Amino acid sequence: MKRAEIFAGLLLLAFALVMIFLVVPAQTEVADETSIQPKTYPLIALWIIAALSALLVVLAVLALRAGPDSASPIRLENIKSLVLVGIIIAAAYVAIDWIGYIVGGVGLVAALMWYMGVRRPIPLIAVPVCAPVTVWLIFEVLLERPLP
Amino acid sequence: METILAGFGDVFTFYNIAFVALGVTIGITVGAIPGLNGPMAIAVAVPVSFYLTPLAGIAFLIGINKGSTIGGAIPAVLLNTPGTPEAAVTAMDGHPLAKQGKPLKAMKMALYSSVTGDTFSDIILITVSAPLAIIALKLGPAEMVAVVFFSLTIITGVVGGSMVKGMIAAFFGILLATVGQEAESGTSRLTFGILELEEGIPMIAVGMGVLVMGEILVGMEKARGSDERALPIDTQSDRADRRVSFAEYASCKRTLARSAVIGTIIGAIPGIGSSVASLIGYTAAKRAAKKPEEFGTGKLEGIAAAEAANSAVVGANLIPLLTLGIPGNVAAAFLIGAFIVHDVQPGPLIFEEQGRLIYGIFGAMIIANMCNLLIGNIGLRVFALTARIPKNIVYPVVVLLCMSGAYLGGDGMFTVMVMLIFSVVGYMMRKLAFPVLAFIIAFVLGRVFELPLRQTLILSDGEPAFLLDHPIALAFVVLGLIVIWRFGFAKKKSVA
Repeated sequence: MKRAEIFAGLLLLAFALVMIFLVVPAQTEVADETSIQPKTYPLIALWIIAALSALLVVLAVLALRAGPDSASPIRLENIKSLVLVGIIIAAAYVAIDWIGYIVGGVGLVAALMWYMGVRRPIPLIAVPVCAPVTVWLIFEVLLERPLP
Repeated sequence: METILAGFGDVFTFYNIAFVALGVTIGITVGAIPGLNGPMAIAVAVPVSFYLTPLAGIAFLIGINKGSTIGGAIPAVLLNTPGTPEAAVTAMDGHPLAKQGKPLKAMKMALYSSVTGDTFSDIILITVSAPLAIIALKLGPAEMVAVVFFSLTIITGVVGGSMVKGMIAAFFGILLATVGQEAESGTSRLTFGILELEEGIPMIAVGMGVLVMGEILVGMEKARGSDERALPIDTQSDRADRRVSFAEYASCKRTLARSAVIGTIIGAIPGIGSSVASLIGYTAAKRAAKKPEEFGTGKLEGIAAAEAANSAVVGANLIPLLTLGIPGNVAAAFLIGAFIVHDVQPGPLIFEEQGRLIYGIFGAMIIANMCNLLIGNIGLRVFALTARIPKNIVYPVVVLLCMSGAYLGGDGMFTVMVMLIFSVVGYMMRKLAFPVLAFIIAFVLGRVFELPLRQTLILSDGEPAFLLDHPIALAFVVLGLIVIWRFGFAKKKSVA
């Protein structure tokens, strides 16, 4: 965990510094007639994030020196799993946007159920069909709110 | 007085009561499903509330919140897996009692205790919030900044294991709240030229992404391939084992009263939450008991202590929201979103500007408690069945609901995309033990915080001595520093 904290702290520190020196100046307009510039507030937050991230790294390094590290909370299989679920959801996002809500929704639920280990045919067909159709009926028909 | 009566009267329509009852039913059902909880259900249901009247919409969400607190006790009793984090303590006595063949008795005791604690808390809310709002109106920008600062220190100090991580999460939330048009000058800030971001990052996308989808992604990893089921309810058992007699309920009256008071006090302090309340309520009951060794073996008093305390938080959590505009927990943070959509700004002026609506909401809260008692009592067996739905079916459906909710509640597919990005943020935060509660509440508070901070900086001219002229602000700053020192120091010691 401590190694992961060091990595996270360094990443956050880099993020904060990039934001402070590159992104905020480029992406925040300058106001003419205000006593405090619009960039002040995000800059205060970012400087504090930078300082706390550095402190997190220091504390984790000290803890690592004091004793053995526990298992990392993020392992390769976690990343693989996240990427796989991400691909399923991204595909469903595109399908919902391009083809339509029901088709995309059926595909999304079916693929995720399969990924989670459901192999029995009845739930594998019934749930993916019923879930989007029910949502569609509630919003599109009952509340008259259009879905994609 | 006229406003109060008119407000309470408004809620007594079939339309409003039906939505309260629907909210309670959804809340109990969702709470009963392990891995899902009330704030998740509220996040998904917020878009639905947009299409209702302000009173029905907010009452619907409050019904969900109240129902889920009770629903969480069902899997705690049947599965020894709390449906909601605050129900974890309920499992200590609830599950042993279920294993003795009395699951219905355990669930009914949880239900009655929960309604007792919740009703007490609502009465306190109704009684004190208007006078407190009058006091809050006298607070200037310096006092508001100090109160928000104190709230943030409590949230970051008490929640999670590391104050440093809590503060990083909180300031990350504040940073994201700065995206969009700046309040005073109207200039764009960190929008990257994206038109949809001019009004800020949608709360619904951040909330659903970090809170619901992040949790689902972690849950999917754990639940993949598993098929755990709850204990079945034995309908053939003795009648006495399936009900709670009045004598049994009355024997817990001291415990119920103590826990209701504990939960209400904790609920009124932003950020601490139901889990801490139930633990303190349970510990206090155990200390006061003549036979403390019986706790943990299936004692009704243990269930009463935990449930009355965690449910008492629900009503009291609205005290800081309605009087200061500060959300006490995640559910209250989502309620702010619903309030704003209906052109209602939570804060001390709410009683002056929207008094009738607020008393209508108070009325809805009392009705929600009655619905909880009635629907819970009649439907416990049915709700118990939902605890048996496997996670590998629940999670995919929740993903679809989140995508649908984000689409309907925001700017279409753009909000869905933002939500999906924040789901990865939520996943990472959980994996690295950054508290999501601190992040979400700080995100909501970020915009509340900016204007008074700006005013304070101008008024004080950057001089810290300015605080000496504002004793209330000074007191809150000192309290905040004590919290930082207390929790920061304690954590450092544990690291060493």
